[in-house]
Parts: sequence; structure tokens; C-alpha cells
Amino acid sequence: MKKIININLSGRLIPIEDSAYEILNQYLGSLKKYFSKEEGGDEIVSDIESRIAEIFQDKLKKGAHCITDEDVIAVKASMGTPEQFDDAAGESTQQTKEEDPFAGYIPRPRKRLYRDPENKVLSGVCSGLGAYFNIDPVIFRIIFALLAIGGFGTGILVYFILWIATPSADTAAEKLEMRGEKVDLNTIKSTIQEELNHMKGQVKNVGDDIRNFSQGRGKQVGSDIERFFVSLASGLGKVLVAVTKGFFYFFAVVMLICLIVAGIAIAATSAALFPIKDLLLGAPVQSALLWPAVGLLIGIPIVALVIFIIRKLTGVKEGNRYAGYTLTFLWLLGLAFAAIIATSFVKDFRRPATETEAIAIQQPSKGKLILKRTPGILSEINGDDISFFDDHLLIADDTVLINYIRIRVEKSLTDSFSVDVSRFSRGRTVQQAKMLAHDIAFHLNQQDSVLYLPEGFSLPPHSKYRGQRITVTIKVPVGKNIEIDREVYRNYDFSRYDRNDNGDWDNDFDNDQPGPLNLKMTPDGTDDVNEKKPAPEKANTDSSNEGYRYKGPAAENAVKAVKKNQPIEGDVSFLAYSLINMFHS
Amino acid sequence: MNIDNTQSQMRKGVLEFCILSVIKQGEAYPSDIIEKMKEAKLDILEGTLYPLLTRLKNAELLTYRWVESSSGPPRKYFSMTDKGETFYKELESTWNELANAVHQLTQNSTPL
Repeated sequence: MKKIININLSGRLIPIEDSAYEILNQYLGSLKKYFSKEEGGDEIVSDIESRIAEIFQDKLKKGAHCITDEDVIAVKASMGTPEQFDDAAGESTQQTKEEDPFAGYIPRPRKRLYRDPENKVLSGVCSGLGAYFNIDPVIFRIIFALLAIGGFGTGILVYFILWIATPSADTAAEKLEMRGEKVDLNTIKSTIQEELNHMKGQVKNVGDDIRNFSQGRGKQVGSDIERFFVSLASGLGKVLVAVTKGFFYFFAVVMLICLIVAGIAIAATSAALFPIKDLLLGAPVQSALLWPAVGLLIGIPIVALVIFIIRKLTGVKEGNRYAGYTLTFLWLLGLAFAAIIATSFVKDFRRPATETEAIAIQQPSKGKLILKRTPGILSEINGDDISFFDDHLLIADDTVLINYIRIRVEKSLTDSFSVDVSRFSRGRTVQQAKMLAHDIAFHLNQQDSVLYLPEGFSLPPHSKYRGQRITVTIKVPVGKNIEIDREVYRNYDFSRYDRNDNGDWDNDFDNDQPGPLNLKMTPDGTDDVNEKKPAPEKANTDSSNEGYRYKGPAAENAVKAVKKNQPIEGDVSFLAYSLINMFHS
Repeated sequence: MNIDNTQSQMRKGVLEFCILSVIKQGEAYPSDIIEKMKEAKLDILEGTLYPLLTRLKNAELLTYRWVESSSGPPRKYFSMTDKGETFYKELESTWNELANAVHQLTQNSTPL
């Protein structure tokens, strides 16, 4: 059973079987495609159409009820298919079947980037780009010229890459592809059919590609040089192009892997930073750009990867180049956003400020001050806390806790114990840093001769983390003792003005040592009461800094800051340190 | 060497000349031309004739007019222009020279 439909072919009413119509339609489509590259192609096709209509009408007049598959096939045979035209007399091109295996190949209805040899100045790269984007090639020439002069030769490099990578549009079919062809239902349909046919001989195709490449593209590049090196160059050109192309494929794969790794890294960092987003981001521009930046930086490579996989699976060799450019542009946009955020964020940490407060303490009886750690909030925090910045910053539920507390033991200039609390913060401006430092809530608690240190300090709600820290300086008068609980020197950043200036690690920092650390202040610094020492070396503590155990430049500067009571200018090492830790965590 | 290819190259060369010869004899409809060529045992695909005619027309060697037909829409009838006449004459003389030469070389081959 077959359906019969009526069609109007060149003004004639033709009843035709459904399946026959399909064959006819496909045949006319292939003719249209074949002749579209020729001047007056439409006219040729309409002539053929009207001739076919005439033949059909003759059939109908002779008594046929409708046009059948056989009729259409017969017409096709007498008219010939595009492939046969090439074999026969139709084509005026010089290429024969032997020279070009793709002479009978019907180009796919896709726009491709070619070099346009007809409008070339040097090799036709710019005119090809112009044809591809439908822009005056002069614009590309200017861009390349500017890049060549201003971009330290990048223009020249890109130009040569394009020269090698893009084929020259030599045949009419390639020129057509270069300018693009309208895509309609029929062309899509025939493309899919072609695709299916190609799938059957995919293995063979690979070989064909290589052959096509070496015979076609390699030859084209070779022919450009041939003027100078006649025959030698075609072989050389083939090798050169093959090597270059191989390199570019390798490069593309490496780039892809890098992109994926970068994407994962960014994703992981963003996920880790998510809970402290509001704590860290200051300027409105940072919050505004955060999601676009993260979305573009992670999303675009994923989209690109998906497209790439789909293309590989479906066997489509080339996709829409605009998609590639758009994706690249969007990703770079994301990168730019991220750079803006990073720059703005770094500025937020630029200015340091310290606020020092002398705290009057009750003088301990027996001339011995005991330092202890208050068990409290931090020890209650269980597994679901999140630590950042080398564990200085802890987040539990809605509370932000910072346990960045430094303890210094110094010699008191008077004969009484005293304590200085320095609140330090960074900020975009000195004022902001001062404000943030002032906002730190930190309280010492004294019970008789025991001074309790809190485990950490919290930030007021809606405050920002800008590297806040506390330095507690305990000034011990000469001849008096201080006992430091093991918990203290383990959990705080502890340093003391030690009379031993050998610079080595003392065993008082070993966790193995049981019991508290008992120090006695001497005119030259602290002395470990429990430690059995050889005969005291000759005092060599004239220079104030030498007495301190070396804790790195940040610690030294911090000590200086405490002493001088002024902000440290240009101390970026802490920031760098914090940022590094942030990305590690 | 591919024999088909050589043959088609040979045919290709004389095809235009043959078509012009047919049209020179009077206004012709493409299918008439095909018929005439078939009579002369020079088989060509109709599909290759149309582009050739269009090309010759675009080169102003041919012209056409629409002739009403009894069945259906009007048909295109091709005829030769003055330019076509001159072109044809040149082709003709070339052909004659070539035919003589070929004939002489292939038929009256005298021993060297």
C-alpha cells in the first residue's frame, strides 16, 4: 500500500507515490547542492526540474496513474547523478578522479574556515576569515598587523598557525563551504544520511582522512612553497604539516586536561570557601561578581567538555565555531571577574593596624604568675567545624572563632607584673583595620595568681575576617617567676625573651615534657627553672631582638609592632601565608 | 591509466562542439539535442547537458526564447548568437585540423 501525493513540479501537477517523492526530493536536493557552486545554478536546476516534469507528464499521458519509484529511478538514470557528472563531461575543473579522491564528494552544508586564494594578499588567511565572519578582510589584516607590531610578534605566530591549520579553498565546493550554505531540512537530512554512511566505514575513514590530509592539505601548503622549492617542498610540506598538526592535537589535549584540573581546583576552593563567603567578601563588587565568576569558570569547561564528548560520540568532526568562540569568551570573562575579586580582596588586607591596651592585673602572691587556658568554646566544637587559615579561623554553626593568639613573655621594666593586649587587624584602609581591631572581643580573667587566657576570640556579627589576631604580652619583673601551663605553650603561639640565645629549639617546646613550664625572669631574659643547664654562657643579649626565639619574619615584625605600638607597613608575609593556607585547606 | 577516464576526457572535449553543431542547424529544445546525439550514438546524461547549455548561454554563445507548448508550461528553445557563430567556426576549423591529424596518424600510418 502506498500513499499518493500531488506535487507541483515546474508548474505541472504530478501525482506521485510517497516513497518516489522522497527519492525525487533527495535527488533534486543533491542536484541543487551540486550546481549551487556554479553560476546560474538555479537556472540549471529549474531546467532539469522542468524536464523531469515533462517526462513524468508523458508517462501520465500514456496512461500511468501516478509516478512510481521505478519512474523516478529511471529519470535519475537518464539525467545522471552529481557523481556521474564529474565522471562525464560536466566539470570543467582540471582535477580528475585519480588526483583528488574527493572530486565526487558532495560538500556538507557547513561553514568552514578556509583560506581564500582569490582575494589573498599573502596567503589568504585574512580573506578567509573575512568570508567566514562575513566581515571585510581588511579588518583582520589590520588586527594582525597591529598584533604583529604591538603584540611582540603574536600576530605573526597566530597568522602562521592559521596558515598551516586552514586549508585553501581551491575547488568550487570548498569556496561554497567557505561562504557557508543555508541549512534546511533537506540538507540536514542528507547530512545525517551521509553521516550514517560514514559510520559504516569509520575505520576506513581514518585512513582516508590521513590520505586526504597528505594529498590535499599537505599538497596545498606545499604548493605555496613550490614556487621556490618545486618538488622537494611538497614532501617537506607534508611532513611539516603532519608534525605541526600532531603537535596541535597534543597541545589541545594537554590544554583540555589543564582546563579540567583547573575547573576542579576552582570548584573545590569555591566549595570550601562557601561558608565563609560573607565573612571574607567586603566590597559589593566582590559579592556581585562571585557567582558569575565561579559559574563561568567551572561551568564553561564543563559545557565545553560535554560538547566535546557529544561530538566525539556522534562522530561530528566539526561543530559550530561560534560556540567555541563564545565559550572561550565567557570563560575569559569569568577569569576576569575572578581577577577583579582577587584584586579587590587582596586590597582588603592591605592596611594593618594594632590597638594596644595595658591591662592592670592584680599582683600575684608569692611572686609567681600562673598562665592557664580557659577550657571553653573551642573545646566544645565538635567534628562539624570548619577550619581555615591554618586553623586560626574556626566556624561552628553561626559563630566565627579565631584562635590566633600570641603569648609573649618579656622582662618588665618595673617591679610588678603587667599585661599588654594588642589587637591586630588588617583592612582596606587603616581606619577600617583599626575599627576591626577594636571590635575584637577578648577578655582576660584573673583569679588570685592564676591568669586565665581565653581559647580564642569571636568576631561581632557581620564583621569581616581580615587576619585578626591577639598578642598578649606578659611582662615579668626580674627575679619573679611565671608558670606556664602545658596547654598554654602548646595551644598558643608562644615565645619568650630567653636568656639562651643559641637559637635552637629548646626542649620546653617538646610535647613530651610533662608538667608546666616554670620560668624565672633574669636581667638577661627568662630562665627555665626545671631545666638542667650547663654553666650559663656569657650574656649576649644586648640587642633586643636576639633574645627572642626566631619565629619567622611575621613573628618578628609582630614583636616589633607590639614594642613600637604602631602598624607594620608592608608586612604582606602574613597575607601571603594566610592565602596559601587557604588554598591548601 | 584509467580507460574510462581517458574516454570521458575525449568526449568532454568535443561535447561543446557537438552541441553547438546541433543548435546551429536550428532552434533546439534540450531533449531534441539529446535525441540527436543519441541517434549519433554519442550518449550523454541529460543532467550534464543543462549545465553546459547554461554555461554557453552565460558566455553569450547561445540565447533562448520561451516557446508555448501544447502540453503544460512553455519550453526553452536555444539558438545561436552571432558570437556563437564565430566561436563555432573556430571550433570547427580546430576540429577539422585535429580530425585530419588524428586520421592521418591513426589510419595512414606510413612506415618510418
